[in-house]
Amino acid sequence: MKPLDFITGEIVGILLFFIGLYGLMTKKTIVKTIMSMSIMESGIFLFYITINFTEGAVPPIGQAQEAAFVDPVPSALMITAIVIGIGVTAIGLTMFMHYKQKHGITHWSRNRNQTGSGH
Amino acid sequence: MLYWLIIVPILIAVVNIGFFHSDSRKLILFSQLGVTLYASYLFYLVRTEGTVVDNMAGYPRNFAITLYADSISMVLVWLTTLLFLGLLIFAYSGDYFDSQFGFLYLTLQSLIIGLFLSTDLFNIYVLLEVSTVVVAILIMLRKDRQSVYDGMIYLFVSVISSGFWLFGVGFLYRTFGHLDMHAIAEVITEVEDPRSLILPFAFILTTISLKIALFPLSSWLPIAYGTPSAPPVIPAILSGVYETTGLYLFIRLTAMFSEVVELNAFFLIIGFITSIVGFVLAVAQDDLRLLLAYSTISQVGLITVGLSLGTDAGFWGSMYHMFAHALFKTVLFLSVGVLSHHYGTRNIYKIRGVMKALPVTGIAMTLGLLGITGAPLFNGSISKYMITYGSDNFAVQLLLNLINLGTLLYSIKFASMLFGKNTQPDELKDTNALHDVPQWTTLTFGLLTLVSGLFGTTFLEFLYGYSFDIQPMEYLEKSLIYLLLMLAAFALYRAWVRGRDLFAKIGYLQLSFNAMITAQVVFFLSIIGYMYLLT
Repeated sequence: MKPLDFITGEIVGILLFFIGLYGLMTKKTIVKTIMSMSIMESGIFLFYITINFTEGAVPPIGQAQEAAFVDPVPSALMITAIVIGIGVTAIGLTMFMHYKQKHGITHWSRNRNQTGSGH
Repeated sequence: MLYWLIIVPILIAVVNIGFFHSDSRKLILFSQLGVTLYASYLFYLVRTEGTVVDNMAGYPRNFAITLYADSISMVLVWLTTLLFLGLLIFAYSGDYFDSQFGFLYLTLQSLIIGLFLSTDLFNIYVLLEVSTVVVAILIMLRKDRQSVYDGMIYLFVSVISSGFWLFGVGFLYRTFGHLDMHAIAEVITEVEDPRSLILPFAFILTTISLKIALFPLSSWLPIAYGTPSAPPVIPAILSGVYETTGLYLFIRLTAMFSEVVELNAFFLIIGFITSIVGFVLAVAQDDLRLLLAYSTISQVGLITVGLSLGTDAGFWGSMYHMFAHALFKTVLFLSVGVLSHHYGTRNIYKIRGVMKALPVTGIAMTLGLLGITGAPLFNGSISKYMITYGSDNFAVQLLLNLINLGTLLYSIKFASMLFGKNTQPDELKDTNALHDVPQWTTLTFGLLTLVSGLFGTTFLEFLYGYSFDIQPMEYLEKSLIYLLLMLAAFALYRAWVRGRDLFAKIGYLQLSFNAMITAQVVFFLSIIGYMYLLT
């Protein structure tokens, strides 16, 4: 057993998830929130693509059966999840840029203005 | 078959974008009529022939992506299409109704129907995530300062909570190799160590609890619902339909895990806390939308209580309350929309004399308020009767009556707008108010509230196939209790609530963004701790 054996994809994934969560809990800057969110999601992606991994398995391509196939489902799921993650990050950044350019605000605040316009 | 309900709105939404410079409203309206009719047909099919299951692409069950419609999900789908149709008629003449709004509206409908029908946990994640984005864009339709801020908070809080869901599903997939809810439910008892399911269950429940806004995860809800500039149909959709998706997932997922971990006691307590906190904050609000948003939290707490009682009557009472809540909350949110249009304000103390100025909306509001408080003959009374019938515990009965007292308190505050001297500004006075489609739509929903109460048990049997007999004597007793509570609430309101600073201060209590995330983590950890003790 090598000394760094416990650093598997799953463990690192879980760690990344909670590091991202820590950032979300403590950082008041909106950009940092978006970055923490991305870190959290990367943790989940890493966790997924390493679950049910067996040593020496081959990709499920072709008919050859000399070794066990890797489970392709998690990777397929993660492609979808990554695309969604990028979309959400892009929308978040767009909102933030709009907000900063128009109103010059970069931090989460507590003040609320309920009077507003329109109906 | 079932997939048409999901594909057609999306297709129409895409076609409608092509009408960028011309009017696409008729197209949307007719497609909505079609979808509603088709949903009614499918509802009939489910009621006569039982559960309809659609396996995509012809793969066998448990491997395919499955759409599943039983009596619970089909009723909710049907309700969704009905409400979307009604709200479309309400919004038809609004200045915000352009092809962009139509696109978002139809997409949201398709996503919500997908949420009700899908059994694949990963699909549900995708639907949750995309619907979050759509709702966030709808909230900040007018791009003013407050709405962009609210949209961002809503988007980030929901996306982070869906991350919890995705992580939980990953753990489940590692254990079972399945993503289908029913497939997992079949094999879940074969798990040797129930503790290995604590982590995935806690992740998933955190997401669902945030979606249905249970205490302490409810802070995002008034922000999302109360955005001042959002068109009135948006909080109505959110409160009437979107809220129900969370409750539906709650029912399905707790049923899936119930063989291994039983969390009824936990959610009973959380439900009561949510409901009580919800009505206290609702009474404290001056803004009509915020008042209704907090009242949604309170009602959702009540539904959670009913679901967690563990009895048949309680469960179906909650199901019926979901249906009833969608109706009367739609009425109330729509009448707030009408009022702010005709009075130019949403402050509860600046609006008086609605009955004189806008009699149609006034009557609709009265019907909605009688529904939400559970007045005799209205739908709220049937569902609340069933929820109280579901428990014989004295403390539970007492707390349910306390919740009803709270509901009456904020309803009286709401109803104070009906009477008094008309405060409508002269420039907004409209002689043609009687021929106003939005007002009559609101009244239609109000009448539905009454009808679904008058024929409550018939409706219940028609919708869910569950027959329930109401004891006339007991019902009469409940009606007397209602009257007593009403008097008590009225006295309390006159003597204590009106014009007190204490309540005004409570109303401003709100969590910051970071505190909301921290609350999520705390909830997650406490649910893990509770399950660890339990198993």
